[in-house]
Amino acid sequence: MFKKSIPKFIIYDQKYDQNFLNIDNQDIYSINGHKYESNYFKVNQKSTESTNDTVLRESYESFKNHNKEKIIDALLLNDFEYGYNSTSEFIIQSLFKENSIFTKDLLNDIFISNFDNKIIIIGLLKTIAHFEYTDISPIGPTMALAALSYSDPEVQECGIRAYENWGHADSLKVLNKIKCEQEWLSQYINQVIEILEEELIIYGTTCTKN
Amino acid sequence: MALLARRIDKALWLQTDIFKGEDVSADAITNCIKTKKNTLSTWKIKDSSSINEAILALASGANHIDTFDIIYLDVDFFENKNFKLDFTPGMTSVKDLVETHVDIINLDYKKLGIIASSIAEQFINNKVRRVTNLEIRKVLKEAIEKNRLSIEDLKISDASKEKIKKMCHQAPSAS
Amino acid sequence: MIKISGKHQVSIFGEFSDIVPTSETILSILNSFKGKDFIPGTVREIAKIGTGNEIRLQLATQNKEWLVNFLTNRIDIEKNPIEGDGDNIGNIQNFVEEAVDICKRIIKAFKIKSYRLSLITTGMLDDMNSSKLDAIYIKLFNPISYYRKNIPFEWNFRTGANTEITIKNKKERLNVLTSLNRIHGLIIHQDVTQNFDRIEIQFDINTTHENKNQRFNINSIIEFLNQAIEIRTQLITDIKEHINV
Repeated sequence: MFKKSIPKFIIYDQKYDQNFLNIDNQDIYSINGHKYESNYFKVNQKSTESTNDTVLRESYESFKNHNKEKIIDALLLNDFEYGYNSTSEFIIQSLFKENSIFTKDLLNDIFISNFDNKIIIIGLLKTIAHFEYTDISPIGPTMALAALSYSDPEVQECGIRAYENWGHADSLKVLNKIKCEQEWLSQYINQVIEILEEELIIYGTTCTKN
Repeated sequence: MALLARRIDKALWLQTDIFKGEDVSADAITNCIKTKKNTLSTWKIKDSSSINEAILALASGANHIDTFDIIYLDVDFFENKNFKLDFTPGMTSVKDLVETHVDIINLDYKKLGIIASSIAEQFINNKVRRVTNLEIRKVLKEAIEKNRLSIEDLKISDASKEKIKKMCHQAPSAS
Repeated sequence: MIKISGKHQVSIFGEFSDIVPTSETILSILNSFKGKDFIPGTVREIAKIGTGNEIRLQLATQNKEWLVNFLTNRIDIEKNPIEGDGDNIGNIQNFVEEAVDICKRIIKAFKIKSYRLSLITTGMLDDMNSSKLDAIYIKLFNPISYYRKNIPFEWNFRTGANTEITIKNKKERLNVLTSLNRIHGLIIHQDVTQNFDRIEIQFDINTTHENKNQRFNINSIIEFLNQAIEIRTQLITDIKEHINV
């Protein structure tokens, strides 16, 4: 895909006054990693930022630079088959063990930046559906919810599958409120709702991890 | 009447409106009836009431308990259309199902098209069954209780195994 | 005067600790944002790291042009430059209209009020030669003789003043902060790098922090922003005249 090149401005030794209300978003650690990544300003030295913040941001940047393309390539090239492991799953699981916080942030970043790429979105959803709900929250359920409002039924289905696999009580709350245009998806949602109700009531348990 | 069962992905088959006679999508063909060495893997069951045997065969070899869709086609259909079938040992932890595995071999473009059309017909005749992950676990549980399968032989995660063990120890209330 | 637009941001301050990325919250916000291409995600609030409450809800457009960050005590609605000169930012009026629409949707979803409001804009002035940049420095700083002889390559000129406006027939105090900074660095465009040396201009207009009554509703936000735009426009006119650009 041909990407439009955007000029980047990198500023040297710029000091930003902390009394500016949130203009530099120093209070947040955004999905972009670097607070200026979506801005044309790039600050090399952030004198008003604490050392810990700098280390955190730089660590995330390094983690992201190392792993983002690897994950995207695996998602694009993989053939996903329900019931079986995939290459991207191995990669993401291994990154999760290395640093679950950064991995979740990176998955969030990839999800949003590639939201129009069905292949990547489906791959991500199929992968996170195999994580435990508590491990992948809140970004996992956030992605699954976003999937439910996607225009493509395949993506919507992946969102429902994720909720089914997680089997959390939260899944029931969400699925009870969702309406799908496609009849087969509506039937599937109803099936999943019945299953979750049965599991929670009869077995006192749900499928939390597959 | 003996049937050959295979797992498919419903979403791919419904990319086009096959109910209105539209052609099956390329994704459905290249993903769901993807061959290796011109061969498609299936599991033979004696009739539609034995569908759980196919579910067991498919699920027992998997790494994850994911909902899947299953279709089954008459063995006669394949024999009448001059398809070649080969009985090869299946990859399943259920020993008594190993010999129920059937490969459809020597496939080519034309034959694959025939299979695709037959699967599309299954959709039209409402014969595609979605097997949820709870159903899969129930089938596995039953097989374990009948000693057809040991839980330790399954390739699923420890957490999933614990879930099934819990189901085995807990009798559901009559409903 | 402002040739390159940078980030523009509207912030509303209040008690928003409940707006966390749970399914209910996200469903509610997605419902409210129907028709807009916002994707729900998360953002990590640094001040809350280690408390267990650090992960906050974020809405983003795919190209990250718009970001809405739901922090514990603040909701930031930002529009970021995604084109070379920040042309996508558009004029201040357009930005404010879009930000107000977003505020309306947020307020509809969560039924919130706020106690403090702000409007922040950034940009860069046109490219100028060093003589002109130096002349501006002298005009602004009226510097000591050392710096007249050795004009700084980098400087920050920041002023803050208070004024009063009326919101909902009540007087509200404002901080009006203007910052002119000489900045330099690199422009990277299609593998070509080029140095730049320009003046950045920032406006930060916000209601003061003392009054913590959750009193601002959507009409208050609109009133505030309209008056903030007027103040900003006046500031730009005055600056332009003063530094003669």
